[in-house]
Amino acid sequence: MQVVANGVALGAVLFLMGSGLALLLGAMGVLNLAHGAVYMVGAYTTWTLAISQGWPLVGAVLAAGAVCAVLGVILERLFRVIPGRPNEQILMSFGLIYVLGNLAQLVWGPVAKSPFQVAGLQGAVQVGDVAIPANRLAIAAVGFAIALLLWLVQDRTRVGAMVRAGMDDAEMTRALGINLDRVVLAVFVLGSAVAGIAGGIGGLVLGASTNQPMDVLLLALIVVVVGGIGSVPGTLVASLMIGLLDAFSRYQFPEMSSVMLYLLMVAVLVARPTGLSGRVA
Amino acid sequence: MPLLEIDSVGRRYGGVHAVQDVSFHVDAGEWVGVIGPNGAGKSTLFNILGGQVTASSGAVRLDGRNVSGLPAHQRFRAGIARSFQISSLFPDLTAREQLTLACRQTGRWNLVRGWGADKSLNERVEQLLDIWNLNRSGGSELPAEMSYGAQRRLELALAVSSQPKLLLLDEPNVGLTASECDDLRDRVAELGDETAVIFVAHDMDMVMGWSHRILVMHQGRLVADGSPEAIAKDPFVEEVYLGVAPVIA
Amino acid sequence: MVGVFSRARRVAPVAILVVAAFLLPFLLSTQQESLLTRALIFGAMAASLDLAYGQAGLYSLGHAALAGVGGYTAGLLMVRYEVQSFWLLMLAVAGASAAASMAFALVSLRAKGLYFILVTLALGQMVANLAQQWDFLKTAQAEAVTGIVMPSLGFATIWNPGTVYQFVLVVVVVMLFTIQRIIGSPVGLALRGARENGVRMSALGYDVWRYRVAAIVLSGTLCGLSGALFAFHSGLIAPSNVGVAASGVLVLMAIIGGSGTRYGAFVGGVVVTLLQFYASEWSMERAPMIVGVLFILTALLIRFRPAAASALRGLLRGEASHASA
Repeated sequence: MQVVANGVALGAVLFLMGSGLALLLGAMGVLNLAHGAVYMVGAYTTWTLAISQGWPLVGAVLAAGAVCAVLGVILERLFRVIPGRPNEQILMSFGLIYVLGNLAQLVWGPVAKSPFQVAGLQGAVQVGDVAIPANRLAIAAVGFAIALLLWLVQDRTRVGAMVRAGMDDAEMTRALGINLDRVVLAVFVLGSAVAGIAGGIGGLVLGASTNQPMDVLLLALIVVVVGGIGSVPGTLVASLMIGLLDAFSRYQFPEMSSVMLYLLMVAVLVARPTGLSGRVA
Repeated sequence: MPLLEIDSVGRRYGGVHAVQDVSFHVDAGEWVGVIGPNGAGKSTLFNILGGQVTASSGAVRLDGRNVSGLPAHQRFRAGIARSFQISSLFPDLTAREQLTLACRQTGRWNLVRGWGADKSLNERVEQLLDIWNLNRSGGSELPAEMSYGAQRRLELALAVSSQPKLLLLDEPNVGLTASECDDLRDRVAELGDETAVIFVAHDMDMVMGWSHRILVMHQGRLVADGSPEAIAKDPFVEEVYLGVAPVIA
Repeated sequence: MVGVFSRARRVAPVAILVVAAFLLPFLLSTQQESLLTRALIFGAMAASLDLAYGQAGLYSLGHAALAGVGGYTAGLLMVRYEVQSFWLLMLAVAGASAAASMAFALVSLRAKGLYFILVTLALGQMVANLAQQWDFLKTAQAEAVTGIVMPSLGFATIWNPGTVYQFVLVVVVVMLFTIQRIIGSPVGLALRGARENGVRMSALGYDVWRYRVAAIVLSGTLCGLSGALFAFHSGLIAPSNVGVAASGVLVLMAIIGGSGTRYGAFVGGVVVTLLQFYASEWSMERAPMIVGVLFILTALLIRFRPAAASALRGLLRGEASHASA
């Protein structure tokens, strides 16, 4: 049960990361490999506020989301000045990963922060005769609340409609006079804020470290490849699969645990190159 | 046996039928013009023949062999070459390099043996540069550095330079002067009496002058199939395509 | 006859450069020799990557893993199975990295466009994780394969930093020559054609997928050979040489030098290796920052200085290939 709780909690964090990455890539054709670096900034910001400064966790996580939203604006600026070709986007992303990672090391030191210990989330919640750790439960709750919110935004709002249109046919959308640049900005800000929140709540089990830009990015992109783009449910299912697979394989075969995730990705690619949701990439 | 048999071919996009239940035959050496208003399904039909798009239904047979399921490169090897309506060139390759690529059949492209220089290939490319009047600065220009007309000539040269059994030309006259258009006709005629040509054009003089037969498409369907004389007199064609007033007396 | 002269004119500067490079050890310190050896190896690795990345337009972020397959194959054969012959080792490395590249190609080419990049990145990291977790890929309680030495050539060889440098130079020149041959051949032209316009290539009768697989296998095999050289020279190979970060730096090398040009990627590999070394001399802790800024500046340079960038590329451009400026 502990394993399932770990898996679902990781799945919730991965969903938040994967949906941001998939939105930018699928709807906007922006390859922002620095998305994991935003997560890291969220994690460290939350650590500073909640652990070091003693803020309540909710406030710290929201503040981390805000900080990352601002970071999202900066990222959008940087990605806008380079043309939308893979070369430049790869270079820009890697540069940001190095610079942000090294800055974090400068500010917070080279030693990783252990999982955040927050008053009120230390115990376990008794459900029947199973004890579920409270922090896992909190992560899952926040994760799925945001999932629902994202789905509503994509399904019910004007920005969401533009995103969906952009995903269907970017050229046509532009021809209809929809300003995609502003949609890109909106997606960058929203995606980064969500990544910051993911970093904050993810810190409850994963702490904060300067390896996260790459580590989290890799997990998120496996989610994107497995889940396919353009479908919130697809991403959700993929995140949960990967979270659970990771938790189980850590438990069952610690020797090969991380390789399992990649093998899942390979299997999905071979069987269904468009991912679970079946959209043409 | 006809060279090409199209048997109730259709293509749907979502609920829209771009091409629906189209059947016709083309014999070796026959030149067939396809006309019809924009959106009639002419380009989709070409894409189905060239293998860029797979038909949702029906069959395409070349020399009696069903080629419907073959990918584009195997259609080419079976003998179908094509040009594109909007020039589909290689932005960062010179005219010389692009024509070299078009000589696949004469060159050594094999992944095992294709590493050496090839003299006969180079000679053929020189010849093509001359024929198509693309030898300005020795064929070292990129498409962006060429005039629109030169780009169109290169586009057609890529299609015509192989020895196809069936040549598909999508609006070949666009961007060409009248004399260049006549040159093109000669180039295509040089392919020999056995080569069949299907072309799309809006210029009725050209269609009447080039075609042995004309197909008329409307809303994804084939609505008429006959000699230029018959098509010019067909009342339905006059109505849906040529407008009420006949263009050709 | 004119051909002979123009060929001589083209080859002469390269030959002079190679001879001069060969004689360099007489002027250099041991440390400089070792640094230059490393620079040559990364130059060759970047040039190998560029066969797929620049020539065929396959934006792979996983090629360090293919180099790693070569490095690990050489290292393990030497340390665990005591194979010492350079020729045998390189043969095994070529086989192993060709097989790995083939698998890499078959999986990654299932994904299209930007997704191809994501998949290559993940596949590359998969190899790094395997190297991290699988005990077979570690020796002597280290997280790496250690204790690798220069192999034997079958005749008396005295290895010192100077001779290692000269030997690596010879191997790298042979590799670069091979790469030039590929770029200049009809197949090389077809790779560029597939990069520029895949739809048109298939309408001209080319099986684009096969050419793409070939590009990845060729470039991966050459990367594997460079990876083996790296292992011989460094004495060890570790997961960090294989992972995403290493692949990213390879891409940076290729682009800085001029991806898709004849010698650009090689020059970029040499320059970036030297830059990395001097950056870490200056400050070990801040070196990643400098490399990161270099990445960002390169991205911006392409945008804001297209003229400067293309002039630089023009210098490095061979007549048969055109950079995607």
